[in-house]
Amino acid sequence: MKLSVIPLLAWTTYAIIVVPIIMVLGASFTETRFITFPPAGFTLDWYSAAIADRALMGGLWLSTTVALASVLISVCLGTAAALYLSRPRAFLRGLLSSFFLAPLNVPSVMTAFALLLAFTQWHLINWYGLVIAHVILTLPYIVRSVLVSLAGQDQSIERAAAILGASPFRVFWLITLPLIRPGVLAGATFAFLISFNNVPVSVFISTPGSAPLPVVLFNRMQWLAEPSVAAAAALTIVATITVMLILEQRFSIYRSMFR
Amino acid sequence: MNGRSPLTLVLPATLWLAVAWGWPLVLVLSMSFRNMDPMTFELSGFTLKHFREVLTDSFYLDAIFRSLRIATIVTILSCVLGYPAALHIARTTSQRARAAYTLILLIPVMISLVVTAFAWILILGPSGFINRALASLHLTSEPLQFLNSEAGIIAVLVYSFGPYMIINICTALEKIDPAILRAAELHGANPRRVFARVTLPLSFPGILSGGLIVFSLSAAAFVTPYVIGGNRVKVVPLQIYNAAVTTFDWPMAATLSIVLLILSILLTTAVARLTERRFAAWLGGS
Amino acid sequence: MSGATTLSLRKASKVYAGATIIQSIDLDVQEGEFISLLGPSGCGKTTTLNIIAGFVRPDEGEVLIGGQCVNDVPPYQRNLGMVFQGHALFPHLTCFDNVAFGLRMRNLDEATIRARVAQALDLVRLNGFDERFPRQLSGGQQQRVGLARALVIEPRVLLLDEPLSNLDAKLRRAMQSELRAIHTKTGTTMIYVTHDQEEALTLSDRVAVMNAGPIEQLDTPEGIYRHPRTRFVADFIGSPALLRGGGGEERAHSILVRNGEAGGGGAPPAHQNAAGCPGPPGIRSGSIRIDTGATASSPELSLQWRIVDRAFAGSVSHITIELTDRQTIVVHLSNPPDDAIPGAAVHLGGAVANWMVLP
Repeated sequence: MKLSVIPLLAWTTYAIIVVPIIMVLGASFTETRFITFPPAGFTLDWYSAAIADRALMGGLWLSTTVALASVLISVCLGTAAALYLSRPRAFLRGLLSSFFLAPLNVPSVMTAFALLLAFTQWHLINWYGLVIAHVILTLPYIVRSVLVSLAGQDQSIERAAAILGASPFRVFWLITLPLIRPGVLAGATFAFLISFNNVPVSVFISTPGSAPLPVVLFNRMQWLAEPSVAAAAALTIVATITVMLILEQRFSIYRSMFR
Repeated sequence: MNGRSPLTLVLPATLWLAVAWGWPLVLVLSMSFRNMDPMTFELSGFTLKHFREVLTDSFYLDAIFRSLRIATIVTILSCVLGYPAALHIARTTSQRARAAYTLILLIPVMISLVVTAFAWILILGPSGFINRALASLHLTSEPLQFLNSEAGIIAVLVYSFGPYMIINICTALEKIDPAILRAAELHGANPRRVFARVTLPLSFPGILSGGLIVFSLSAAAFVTPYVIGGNRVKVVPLQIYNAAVTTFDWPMAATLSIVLLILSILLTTAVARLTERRFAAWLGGS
Repeated sequence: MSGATTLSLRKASKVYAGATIIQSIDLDVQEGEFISLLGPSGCGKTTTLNIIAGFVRPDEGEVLIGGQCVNDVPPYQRNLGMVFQGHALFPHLTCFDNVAFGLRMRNLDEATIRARVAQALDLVRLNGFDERFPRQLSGGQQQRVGLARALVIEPRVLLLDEPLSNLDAKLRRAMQSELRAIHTKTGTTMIYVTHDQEEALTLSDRVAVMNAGPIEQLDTPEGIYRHPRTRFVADFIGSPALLRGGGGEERAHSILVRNGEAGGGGAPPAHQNAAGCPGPPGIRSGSIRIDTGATASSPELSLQWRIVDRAFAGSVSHITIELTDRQTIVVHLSNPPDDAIPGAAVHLGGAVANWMVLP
């Protein structure tokens, strides 16, 4: 096979991916009042500053609640839709499948602007609007994830349950649901990250006073703020990577996501 | 089971998407044909002037070409720079190692675009890592401007979206029957030729699907150009953002959105259609 | 209508994507009977089973259970049992819960359930496997749990969809005898789908041979084997060495005429095929005898041709013989003479009684 050039290049790639992360983490510890890497000194002051920063903490709270609520709704809607679409002879199956995946194919800035238009009209530039919008963002991932989970199931298992006397509802509740639960959970966790970290849509439809964490950071980029921004960014990075590790550990999600 | 599930299962999700997303998109379409008073937000009339402006005024045409150019370069770079990693993962046999590599690859995808941009400012900024390293080595007398430039934007977009390309190529590589590679070797091809004449062509579906994703995402990106480019490098999504949120020229924002969408769809379907036809025969319907 | 008919199909048909899967199937299954649906892939046997179970709706025709039409009755109310090809055990439930599932659906009390599950596991000789999960079992064990699960509910009819085809040959044979024993013991009516003719012939009281259309023949195993009523059945069962003539003279009693060879004897039996016409004669390759002597040693062995190949396959050897018209037939013999090698001239024939007239 090819020489060890490939592994070298590959590892360079991985390094390039990881280096910026390390820099953010490192910069957050600096004792200087401006962001610098390598950090000058070591202090946790910026973390306490970040925690004391009401806008940042407000953003964190908002991001978390919006993500939780929208994922919850998405899971209910998306699982039901996936169940429907998994039947080969479902009515309008092809069209609906494309429809549910469509948000991924439309420029995010367009979705963002569209929601701005509509939500301004409907007075939904608030927490509820954010949740509604984030359901739109996360639904495609949930539907895809559950569909993959359902596809991996043996059809005869549901038939076995039916012939043994289980009504369609009982088949779903006692057999299908427990078996797709890992897939649903994996999709939900992934969707949580998508929602929590979303910028484009959230930027358009948040108010200055109450914005999700990424939007707060976005607004502060202009002033290339003090290291407390680095601290907040570092926190989101750590949280994201932790969740990813948990996902991988329990569900091996990478296998199901990109099929 | 007996082939059908009740429609009520799919109805809630469909309604939600249609009303909360589909209808707003229709609003965008209609907005692009109206006049709007930026002060009062009143709509009036029917006009094609926005489209005319976008398609004739160099301000917008420049932005369109710039967006497409950036997206193309990002796609090409993603493919070239990402291919080794894809090969590496496809050839790794240990499941745990593969999981680890994929996890690393997914980091740029999962962390927020803002955080990514922030990290790269640390690297690319005037007092950032690269510049300070170059200065301390006395290679430059003043900082190189990576920010506020297309190059900087391209770099960060490759970082953020490249993993999609890598993973798609990897998936395609894994689908190649190893027996084919062995057959090529047996017929006298050295590793380089096996790669060039067998592996690379057979991985094309992955390059294609990954390329479409990366291209669409890059063409539509506005966060990265905003933060890295300082809102000075004009790309279409930025213009949409400015029109929507700063100047409140909503009809123009709408028009630009429609144009962006159409371009995106046109290009991706055209490329997909052209290459599929060419390769369908010997790929045998991947 | 005798009460002993447990299940019937009346003129059941199914078309899918323009292709006829089954057509006008009429089937009456008697109580306690073991009936097999036999045929190659795509012949409609599994579709028929699924129609009986209620997973597929027939385009025409009816399914009657106990004399009542159940076309509109969903599977979970038909009180049938089914064993699947891929065992289809519930992976997240223990063996006990798997077997108990049907009983729980019927809302029986736990004490009864426990007793009957124990009984069922005992029947398939898996006592003590209660707490194991399907993934901890071997293929054969999984299939037995599937059987227990289907039998414990005391179904009116037990449907089996090629349950043994995923098992290796040795295990399959062991399971076949277990299945026969269980059938004798419980007296449950069983409808068995398979493509393996040996299996069908061994296990069944009656066999229905199918070929994507109407039932080709519904008969006892012996009837199917000895008196095939259609060309398909004759071809499919027992791999006969058909001596196909080049058309022409239908004087079936004279092989001479048909093959243009001189020779005598070896006359096929006088009976005719189902249509009452004399058809080409055929003989099961198991009944063919060969003789490598220079001249035929007995009147039965009258046809002389050349061996072109000999392949050893353990308990039998496959001897390929070329006929005058460039056709070859393969004869399977357990102990062929040593000089029956490629190039040797050989006489073929068989006892008169073993000849059949084919449709």
